[in-house]
Amino acid sequence: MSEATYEVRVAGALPDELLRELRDLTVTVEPPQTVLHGSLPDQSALFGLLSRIHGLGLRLIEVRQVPADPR
Amino acid sequence: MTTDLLASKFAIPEPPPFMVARPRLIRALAPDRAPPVVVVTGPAGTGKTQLVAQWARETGPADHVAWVTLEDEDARTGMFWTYVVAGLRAVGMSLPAVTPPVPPSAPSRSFLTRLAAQIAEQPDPAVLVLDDVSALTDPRWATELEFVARHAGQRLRLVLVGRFDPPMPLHRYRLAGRLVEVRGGDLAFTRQEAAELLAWHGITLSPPAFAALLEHTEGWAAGLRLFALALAGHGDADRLVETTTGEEATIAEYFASEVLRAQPPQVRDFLLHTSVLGTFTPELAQALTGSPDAHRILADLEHRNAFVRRTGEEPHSYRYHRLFAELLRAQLAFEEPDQVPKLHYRAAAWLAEHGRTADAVAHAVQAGDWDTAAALLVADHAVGRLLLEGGAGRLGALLRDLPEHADGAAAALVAAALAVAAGDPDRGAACLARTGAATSGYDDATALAGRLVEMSLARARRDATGTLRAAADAERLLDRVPADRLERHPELRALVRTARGTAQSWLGAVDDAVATLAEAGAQAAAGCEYPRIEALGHLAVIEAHRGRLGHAERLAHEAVRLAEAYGRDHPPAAAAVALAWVAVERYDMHAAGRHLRAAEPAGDGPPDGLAAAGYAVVKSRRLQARGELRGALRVLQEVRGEPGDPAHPAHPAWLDREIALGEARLLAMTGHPDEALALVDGLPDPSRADATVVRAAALLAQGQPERADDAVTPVTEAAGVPTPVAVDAWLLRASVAAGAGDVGRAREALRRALRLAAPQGQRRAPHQVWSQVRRVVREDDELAEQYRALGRGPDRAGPSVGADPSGVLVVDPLSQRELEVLGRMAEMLPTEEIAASMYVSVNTVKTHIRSILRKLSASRRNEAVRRARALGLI
Repeated sequence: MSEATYEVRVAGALPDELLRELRDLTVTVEPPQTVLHGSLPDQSALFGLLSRIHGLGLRLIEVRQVPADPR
Repeated sequence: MTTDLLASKFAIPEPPPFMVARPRLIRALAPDRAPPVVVVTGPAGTGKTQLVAQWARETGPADHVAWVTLEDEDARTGMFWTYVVAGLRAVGMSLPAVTPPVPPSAPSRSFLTRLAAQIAEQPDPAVLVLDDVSALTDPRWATELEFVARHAGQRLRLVLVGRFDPPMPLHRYRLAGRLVEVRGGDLAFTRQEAAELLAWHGITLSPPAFAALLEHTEGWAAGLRLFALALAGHGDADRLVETTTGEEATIAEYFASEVLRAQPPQVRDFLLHTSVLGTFTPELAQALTGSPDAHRILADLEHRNAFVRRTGEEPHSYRYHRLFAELLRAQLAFEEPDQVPKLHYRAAAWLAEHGRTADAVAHAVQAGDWDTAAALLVADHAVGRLLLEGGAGRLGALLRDLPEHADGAAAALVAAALAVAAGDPDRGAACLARTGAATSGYDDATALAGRLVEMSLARARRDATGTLRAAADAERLLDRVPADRLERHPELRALVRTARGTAQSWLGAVDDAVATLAEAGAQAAAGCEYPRIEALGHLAVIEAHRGRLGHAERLAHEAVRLAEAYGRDHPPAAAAVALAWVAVERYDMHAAGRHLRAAEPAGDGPPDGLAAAGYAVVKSRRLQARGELRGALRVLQEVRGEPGDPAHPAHPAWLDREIALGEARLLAMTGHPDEALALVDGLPDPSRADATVVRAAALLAQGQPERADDAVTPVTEAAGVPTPVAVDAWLLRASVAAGAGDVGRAREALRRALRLAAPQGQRRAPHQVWSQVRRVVREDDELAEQYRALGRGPDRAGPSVGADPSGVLVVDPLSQRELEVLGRMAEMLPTEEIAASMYVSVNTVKTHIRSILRKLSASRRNEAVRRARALGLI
């Protein structure tokens, strides 16, 4: 239920509409993949993100929970 | 389409008997300065719905809380907006000009714009609660809802409840301070709330046991309540907590071992077996389980707060809490997998018996019994729905995955209907072939479905004779259907009538077609929208052709209005062609061009033969009026040259004839009168009035005025000649007389032509010969006035360009782009929307608007729109 940092890999490029929504995540393009990295408040936010990726017809490659960035 | 909207979709859920008040969350939901968007997310069973329901009840009716409970199929069946509009209306919002889209239409931009505009005009703000938006699989609803909310001013607040974050621009809302979020962490029960919940259930725990329980469940509401349920009647609560919280058990295991085990066997079976139902009455539960105590068991479960709640519908019906139902179904599938299809099958049988076809079909599909699903649909005469909605309606969505090899006549018919509706007649024919040689060996319902599918298939293949044959059989069978059954399916008659009228028109039986199509066009029952729009459009083209311009215009406007109301983005092509036809005959070339553009098939499937042929006729006349005779001729030759085999002609016979006559007339005008004569003489029925007039025109072009006059005279003396033909005949006689210098006869013939043309404002034909006969009327003021009056036909708002009531003249004509912007201004679209829809920048639109205001001498937009209407520009 609690906040955690995730790394999500998607095949291809993300459409602008989604990018605008992902301001609080770091987006890195590693052709042919796009990597989203950042902290999400809870599981509902993670599933929301995954369902959006799915709804846009993008292929999800990997979802990993990663150690939080030492900031 | 008519759907009996379930009252339970709009009911704010009743509070359970043991309700823990959560004021901290209520306050979080509704801070003093309420933001426009509230999102409540958290895993299953965290009390989201209960919390929002409690808040909705407490804010009271003054706040207009519209509640819609969504389910998985609402996204697939395009019912989302139907429910939203119904939900808003249910709380007293007045939305007069809004009709939700009818499947298979998706909500159009104009529907969303209109809805937003009407919400913005409400005196009081409303709250729209959408419970479980996570159930909606297709994310389009979010974009559409975002659009409506953005344009509804401050009149609509959204409360979105779901298991995960909805696909809305939450980040943007957050930044703008327009979002309130209640998330899983907030929903977790605090120590105090958990203590209160247990106290409700009469459970006391020692402090260590209570702490262990809270830690184990992490404050998860469902976990706490399941535990309370298991503890009810359990002697030693502390020990149970010890045994259950020690291990890492999944909730499903815990549920199966502790909660279900604690129920008496009869109740346990009842719970498992009824879990296959969505919303159900005690009677249905009884039929399914064979348990005579269904009423008592359900009342008892509700009282004990065992995740069952009443839906507030009449007669009383219940549904399980979503999470609870999921757990029960998982348990049922684990314990008695072979029972699952049997239960669905039994539910289907009971529902079908009680007239709830769609629900019955859904259960038959879940039972994996496609044949029964199809048979239920056919027996209920619901095949018309499939033909009209295809895979977009609820039934179509349920049966879309029907396997190819499903045998049984009903399954083959359903597959054929879906294929025809999807525009694949070949596959439809292949499916239909599987039903056997003829459906006559079957019962009436199957035979009727078979004929309806055959009829639609014949229509799709432009086989008019086959369509008529199948339609006649279908009508005979329809007469044998009991009236109460037919009442539920008014679309069947509408389908058959429209098909019959279209086929009659195709075969050239125009009078019969008019009678049949008028019947279909008057069919206003719900579910008949699409056949009705089609019939009106077709009728409008016929009437325009017969010269009944005012009537054609009314019919076409009605078709356009209905299509727009039911969520189509484009006006029906036939109606747009009819309006263009009327405009061109009234010599309003600008309007004709606008309607022709509206009729352009926008790459959506094969162009309808009627609209394509009518389009060519109007376009050709428009070019002719501009003096581009070669272009006018080419348009007609192209459309006539379309390859068509005689059994499946590409256009209605009467339109083919009109095209040939137009071609002949243009050939005569461009110096090929011999070819023109050959073409006319080669027509079927070459001595009919319409052909006679064109023959006379060709003779005149050959330099034989006397023969031309002799040929056309009988037409001017006959009764029952269509007005456009009679007008042409008199004009031809006027030309002959003027050419011979016989002023008196020329004037008389002109007077007759103008008198015939006046009632419908037919200005085009007289205008075409005016230059030839002008000198004849030079000294005849009366005649000149008669001619001028033509431009101000009886049912015209005024001349296309000229003085409007305020006495302003348009000095500078508007450009094409300006007219486009003006049209969108008339739709009340904001500047940004206009820019987006025209793919130009906001500044460009602003420039256009300034220029429009200048040209129309208007100071404000609405004034410009009003003035443009008065001038007939839009």
